[in-house]
Amino acid sequence: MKSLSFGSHWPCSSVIHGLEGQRSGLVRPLQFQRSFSTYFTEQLELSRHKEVQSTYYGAVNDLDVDITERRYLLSGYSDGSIALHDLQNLLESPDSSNFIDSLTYKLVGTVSAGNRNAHKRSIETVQWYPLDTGIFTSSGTDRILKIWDANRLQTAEEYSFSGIVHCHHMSPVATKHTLVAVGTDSSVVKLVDPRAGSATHCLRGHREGAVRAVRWSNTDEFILATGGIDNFAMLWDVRTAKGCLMKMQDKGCKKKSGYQRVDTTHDGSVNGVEFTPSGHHLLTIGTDQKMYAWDTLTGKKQKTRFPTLSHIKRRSVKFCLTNEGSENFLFIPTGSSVTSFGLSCPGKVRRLYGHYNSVNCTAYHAPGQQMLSGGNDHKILVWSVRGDLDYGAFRYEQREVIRQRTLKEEVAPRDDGTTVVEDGQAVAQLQDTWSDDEEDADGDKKDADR
Amino acid sequence: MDGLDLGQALQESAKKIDQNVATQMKKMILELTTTGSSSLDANILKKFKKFCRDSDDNVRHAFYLIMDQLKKNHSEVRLSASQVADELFNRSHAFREILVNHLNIFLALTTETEANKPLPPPKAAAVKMKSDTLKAIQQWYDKYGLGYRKLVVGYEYLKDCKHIDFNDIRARSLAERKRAEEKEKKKKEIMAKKLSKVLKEILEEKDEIEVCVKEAESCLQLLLPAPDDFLQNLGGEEAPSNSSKLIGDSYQSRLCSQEIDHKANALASKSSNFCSNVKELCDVPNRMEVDSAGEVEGNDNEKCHRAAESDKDEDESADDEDDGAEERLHGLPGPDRSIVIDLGQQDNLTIQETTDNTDVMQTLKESSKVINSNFLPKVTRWLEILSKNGAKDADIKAAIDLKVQLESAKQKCVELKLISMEKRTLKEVDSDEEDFEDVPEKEGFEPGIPSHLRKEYGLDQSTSTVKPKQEPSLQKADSSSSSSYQVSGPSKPKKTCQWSLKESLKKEYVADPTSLAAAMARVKPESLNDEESVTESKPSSNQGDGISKVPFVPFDVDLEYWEKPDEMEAPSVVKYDSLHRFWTPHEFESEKPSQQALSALKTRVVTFVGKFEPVKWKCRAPMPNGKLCERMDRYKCPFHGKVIARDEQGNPQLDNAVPSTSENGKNETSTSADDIEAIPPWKDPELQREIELATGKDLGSARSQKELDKKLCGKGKGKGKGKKTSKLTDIKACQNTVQKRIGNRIFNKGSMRRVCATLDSADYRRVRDKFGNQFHYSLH
Repeated sequence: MKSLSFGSHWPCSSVIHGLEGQRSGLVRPLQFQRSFSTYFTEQLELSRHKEVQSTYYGAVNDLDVDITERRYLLSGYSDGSIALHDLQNLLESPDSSNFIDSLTYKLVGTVSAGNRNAHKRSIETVQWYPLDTGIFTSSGTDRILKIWDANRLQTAEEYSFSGIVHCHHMSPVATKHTLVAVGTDSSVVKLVDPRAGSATHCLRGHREGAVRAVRWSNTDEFILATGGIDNFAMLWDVRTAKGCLMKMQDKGCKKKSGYQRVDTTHDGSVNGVEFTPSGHHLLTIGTDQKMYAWDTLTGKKQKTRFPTLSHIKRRSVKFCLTNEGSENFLFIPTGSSVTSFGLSCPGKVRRLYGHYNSVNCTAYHAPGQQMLSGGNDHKILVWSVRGDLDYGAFRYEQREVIRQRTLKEEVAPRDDGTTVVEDGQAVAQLQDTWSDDEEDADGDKKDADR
Repeated sequence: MDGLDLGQALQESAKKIDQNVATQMKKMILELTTTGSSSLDANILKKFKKFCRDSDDNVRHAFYLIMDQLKKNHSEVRLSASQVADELFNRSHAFREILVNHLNIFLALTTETEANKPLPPPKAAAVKMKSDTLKAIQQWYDKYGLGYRKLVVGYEYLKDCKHIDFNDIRARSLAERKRAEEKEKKKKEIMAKKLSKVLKEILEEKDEIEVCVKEAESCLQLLLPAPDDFLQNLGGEEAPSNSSKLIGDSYQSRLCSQEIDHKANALASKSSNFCSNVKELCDVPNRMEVDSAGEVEGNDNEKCHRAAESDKDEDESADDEDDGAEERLHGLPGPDRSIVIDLGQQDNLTIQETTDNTDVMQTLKESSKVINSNFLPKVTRWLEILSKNGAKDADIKAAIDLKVQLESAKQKCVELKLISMEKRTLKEVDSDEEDFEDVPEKEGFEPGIPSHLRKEYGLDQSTSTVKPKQEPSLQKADSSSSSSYQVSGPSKPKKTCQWSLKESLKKEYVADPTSLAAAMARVKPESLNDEESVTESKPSSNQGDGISKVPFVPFDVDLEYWEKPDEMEAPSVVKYDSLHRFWTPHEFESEKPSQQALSALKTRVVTFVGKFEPVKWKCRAPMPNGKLCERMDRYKCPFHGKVIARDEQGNPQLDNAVPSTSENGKNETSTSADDIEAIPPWKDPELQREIELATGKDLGSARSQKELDKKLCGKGKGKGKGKKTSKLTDIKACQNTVQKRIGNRIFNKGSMRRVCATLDSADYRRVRDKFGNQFHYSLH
């Protein structure tokens, strides 16, 4: 297994070319689709037109898009409130005077901090029930894991723990069990079974301290990966109660003489774990600002050298990994930017600047070819392909057509005249205006159109 | 910082562009940001923009340069950098793009969005930068919000998360403009009102002033006819003749020069009412005669007239002969040569008051007083107001003319010591009123002190004839205080007659230096006053020059053993080791008196308290309101520096004898006076800085610091070499506050340790004293 992602990368130059190849049978449809989604993902930028309706609750601590419909965005806030956005219906917001052609993902439901059911303190993790959008789970620093009825926005069940709940996860592929793996301040990973109504398993293996990352495998429903502040990432088979399947250790590393170094996964606590879409590899992020890939079968470290991260704090890292393209991209919140790179070619690092305070979480929404990020600046930002420049151009053309028509018909100016003016403004804003220094305007109006 | 390594980015961007351009841009941005002023240098900025204009890479490089400057730990640098950024933001799309991309860093550095990164020190600049940047962002948002998504996000972030009220800023900028306009309007109105008021005042009082000046002038003319008048008379009566005219001309010119020169003009005979030099100057050819005759000229009008007549005669005769032979006979060379004769350095040109001119003098005094105290300050104020409020040239000219008139009148009065006399008597009255009762003036019979009382009055035998010119104040003081009295002050540096025991003793020494006892014996019967002091001072104590200062010491052990100090014994303490009532040891050793106890017996503590001398002088530095500083400080006036000798106008008199209070006053006074004149005391940079720190408003401490520095450098006194030439406010100087200095002194390690050690030892001693002799505690 050389590559960390599916298939081979087929370089595409244009959609037409790709379609032609697909028609003539040179390119397989799946390959074509994947290469295009990769192509798009490479070009994510802060969207100029799309925005998520803001809620003014507080810092956004976690985001999750449901995997059944891929429609609803679940967000947990630092004041304990929860919001639900509909990612399918993009509504034009005429009232928004901020920028033209703005499209808003509307809020469909909230649990505000004042609600009786809401978390009392900051929410750390939210997740949809993998099989249905009728249920979601949330946990936070008030030491409670809540299972919600999404339709009535009420708590169905609560499980309290002795320490802060750093993370929880439900297996996306499980059919035989509905276990929720919970990582708390204690070193024991607990498995909560909602059907039983209590914690059924305890996974003891981490030496001391908190467990900051839990993740079910996306291929095997019984495989669980955890990462703790004892610097170890572990792989478990929940059917064996004896102990962990393996510890991720770099056995190949040289021992320094005279210094008995404990061979750990990271040199700092492991704050994030994630399986690659194939399930063959496990990615770990530690507070040593590094990222490693491990083989889940052998437990060996992969040779791939990932770029050094930054601003990995002592809390669970909510990053995301795309799984649709031929190349899978990681979006890792690093300080006020989001670091993005492909798994197979991690040298090409992009940093997405958009937030004004540290970014807390990222989520990928595959149908919309967009990434969503939430941060301490109370905002959920939408990152879409080329910042939806095409949409803007399309709208512009549309308006041009309308304008031409109205000019031809010599009809009295309608209300869309204002939008034309607006558009002109927007274009004018993107131009250089050096000319007021000296009066010669010999083509130094550099149109820095992207 | 947040995934952006600025230094690296800067290097990379510099690689993309021409090296030459990069270095030049760097230089320019350094120049722009290190001015320390709140506005940018337009020329450099223009050049910088020209560079940026060439390519987008240059713009990007400029951005990194600006960010580099923004990271400097100095708010003035940051302020300038943010202003440059604002300029470029309004110009270039590329700059907008890159700045908007890194807007969070920009905001963190300029508007303090991150709590753990406060803005650097000069608080005034920091506050200004913050408000300016927020305003700029508001404007950017209004202008470019449509095109730059992140700008909108940032704006909303500031609005929602940082709770910055942009509506308020927007409204404020509008309201500010309006308010400024109104202020301007109001200011103009006030100015106009002031102006009209002053003009009206001038119109009202001009006549009065002119009358007063005229009065003073005419009085002066009566008292002291100007040489011009004589010459005019001459010119009027005489037929124009070459030689006389020549002579007259030369004299007139010399007169002019002499009029300017006070000393020459100040030639006056003590006895005459009239300036004798006027006469001398008038009778030109007779000059030698006059000179040889000395200054025994007539002292009344008639004589003067006669002189003038003879003058005429002489001139006529000279005219007749027309060859200058007579002049040669008189020892005068030709008219083309001139002889300057030193008429003696007589400073004081005084007019003595006689019964004839009492009224004139009185009027003159009054008018001069009015001019000095009332009109002159008023006219000065008028001029100030007129020039500040933009009056017409004609009005200002008229006011200046008035002032010139007044000043010339005042100058004349000053030359005649009229004003100063006034002042002195006034002061005399002021200061003496509390201390002394009104004593009838002794002036009349002061010279007639009987010779047997002369000693009592403290007058030397030799100075048998008391000068009538002696100042009344001194005489009064002498007569009122029988003890020794010495006047020492900047305003009265004269040495006065002084009575003291010392003097009398000295005399005795001269008379009979063989034995002091004999001298004392002789002194005793002679002066009654001496008795107390003599009895006080023991003969055993040395009787040098300062016998009057020898303190009184009571009799004690050391005096008892004065002759044989070796035999002195300290009282010993008998210690009984055994506390038993009657079982005492046979011989107990009496403790040897320690050296310490002995020396303790020998030493005497004499508290010396200097005699309090009341301050008798005033600072008298000229103040802006035309008056002189009335503060009475011994050495240094808090507002005007060292107290130095000053003339009537308050100008420092450098050639004067420097009073004893300021030994090396000459050079120091000149420098300090310059400083004081140049920089008003409220512009003290340290004071301003402290106020700024407290209020957060810019009072311009930086500017005054700069002024001060410049001044120092200009004099070549400041050590300008080591200092960097940056125009920025020195942050370290800002931090160098009084509190900090005290803090450093108090809380430094050494002193803390010392204090701790002292306290510890004190504690230990206390414990030891309490429990040291207890067995139980001593074990531990």
